[in-house]
Amino acid sequence: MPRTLTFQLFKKRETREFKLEPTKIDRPRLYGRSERLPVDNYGNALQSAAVDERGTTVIRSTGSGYLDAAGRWLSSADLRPVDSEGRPLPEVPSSFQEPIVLEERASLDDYYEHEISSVYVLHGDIAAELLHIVAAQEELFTFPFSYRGGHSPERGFLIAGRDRLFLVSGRRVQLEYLERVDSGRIDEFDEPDEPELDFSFSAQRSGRGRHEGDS
Amino acid sequence: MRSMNLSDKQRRDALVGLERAPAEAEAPAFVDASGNQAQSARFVKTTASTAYERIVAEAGGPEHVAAILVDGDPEIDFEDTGRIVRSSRRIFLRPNGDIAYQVRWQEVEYDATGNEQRRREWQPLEANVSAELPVLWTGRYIEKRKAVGMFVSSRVYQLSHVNGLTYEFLHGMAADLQRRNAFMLLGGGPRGDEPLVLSRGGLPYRAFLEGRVRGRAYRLALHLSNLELKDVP
Repeated sequence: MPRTLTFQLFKKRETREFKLEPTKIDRPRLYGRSERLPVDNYGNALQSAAVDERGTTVIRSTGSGYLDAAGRWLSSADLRPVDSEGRPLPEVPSSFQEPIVLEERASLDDYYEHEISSVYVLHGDIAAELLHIVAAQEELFTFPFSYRGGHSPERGFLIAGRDRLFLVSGRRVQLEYLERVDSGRIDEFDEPDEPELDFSFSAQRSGRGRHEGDS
Repeated sequence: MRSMNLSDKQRRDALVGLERAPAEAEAPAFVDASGNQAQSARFVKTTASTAYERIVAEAGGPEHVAAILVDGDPEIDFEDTGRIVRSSRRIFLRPNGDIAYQVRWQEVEYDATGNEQRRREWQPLEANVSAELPVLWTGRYIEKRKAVGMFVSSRVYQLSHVNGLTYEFLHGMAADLQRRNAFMLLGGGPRGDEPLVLSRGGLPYRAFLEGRVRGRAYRLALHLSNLELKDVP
C-alpha cells in the first residue's frame, strides 16, 4: 500500500484535505545512471577495501557509532540531539503521520535561498485540483517536512510544474550582501618549484637512463 | 575561496571569487545522558581474514560452510572486530584476495530502467570554471516565476569581488538581473553550451546566476542544478 501525505487547506471557513502519494524523482529515474568500477589490467573486477593506520590489517567493512568521554560505546537510545547552543532538539514525527497544513507562504526569493535535496511528484485523484490551487498562488506554500521523522526537518515547498504537482524539500543557506570593502581573496596554490636542469647528464652517464645514441 | 573566470554581457571577463554558501543551521550534535558531547567513531566490522570467499575456500565449498560455522566462529576476527579505526587508506582487492597495485576505472552506463547501455574506460571531466576560457553569459534570461517550475537548485554558491574593478563588474550584473527579476543561464566551453564542472572529476551542473542589489551592496548567487522538475516517463 503506497504511503500518502495529507495536505490540509483552509478555504472559506472549510477545511479541504488532499491525500496524495509522493514518488521520488531523482537523476537515475529520469536520465539513467553511471557507475565507476575498479578493474585490474586484465579487466577483472576488484573489490574495495581499506588498510588501517598500522598498515597491517585489511578491513572489508566498517561500522560507526558514538563514544562517551570515557571511550565507552553509546547506544542510540542514550544519545540526545542538541543544536549549536547545546539546547535539546525536539523530535518531529514523519510528515506521513500528521496532516501538513498549508497556511505558511514563501516568496520566490525566499525559496531561492534554499538548497533542494529531495524532489517528489505527487499523484492522486485530486492532485490536479491542488495543482490548480498552487499554480494560482503568487507565493509558494511552505511547511516543515520530514520523510522519516527526526530532529531537524527540512523545509518543504509545493511547486506547480507544467502538469504535475511537486513537493521539494531542502535547507536554507546563508548569502550576504557585499560592499566594495568586502573584497574576497582567491586561494593561490603555490606551484611546486621546477627541478633544476641537469646539464651534467649524470643519470645517463651512470647507465640509469640510457637513450638511443648514447655511447 | 576558489576562483571563477566569468564574462558579462559585453564579453568582458574577470576572475572572481566563488564559495559554497554555508547552511544556515548547523547539523545537530549529540550528547550522552549526562550532557557531555559524544564523539563519533568508526570501527572494524569484518576483515579480509573473515571474508565470505575465504571461509568458503577453507570449508571446501559453500555446502560445507554451515558445518564450520556450527563448530566455530570463523566469521569473527577476535583480534580486530570492534577496534576503533582512526584513519585508513583505500585499497583494492583481486578476486583471490590479493591487493591490486594497478587499478583502472571502467564507467558503466545504465538507462532509466536499469539496463546496461555501454562500458568504457572512465575519463574524468575537466573543470571549466577557472580555465582560460571564461564561463559565458549566454544572454538567455529565465524569469524566476518560470524557473521555479523548471529545475531545482542542488547547490548554491556565492560570487564575490576581489578588487574595485571586479566589484563594479559584479555589481552591474546583479543590478541587471534584479531589474529583470530573472536568472541568467551561464555555460562553459567555447560556445557557452556546456554544463559547469567545478573540479576535475566532479559532476556537471547547469548554472543559473541570480542577482540582487541593496544600494551599493550586491549579492550574486550561482545556482547549480542537475535535476529538472518533471515526472518519470
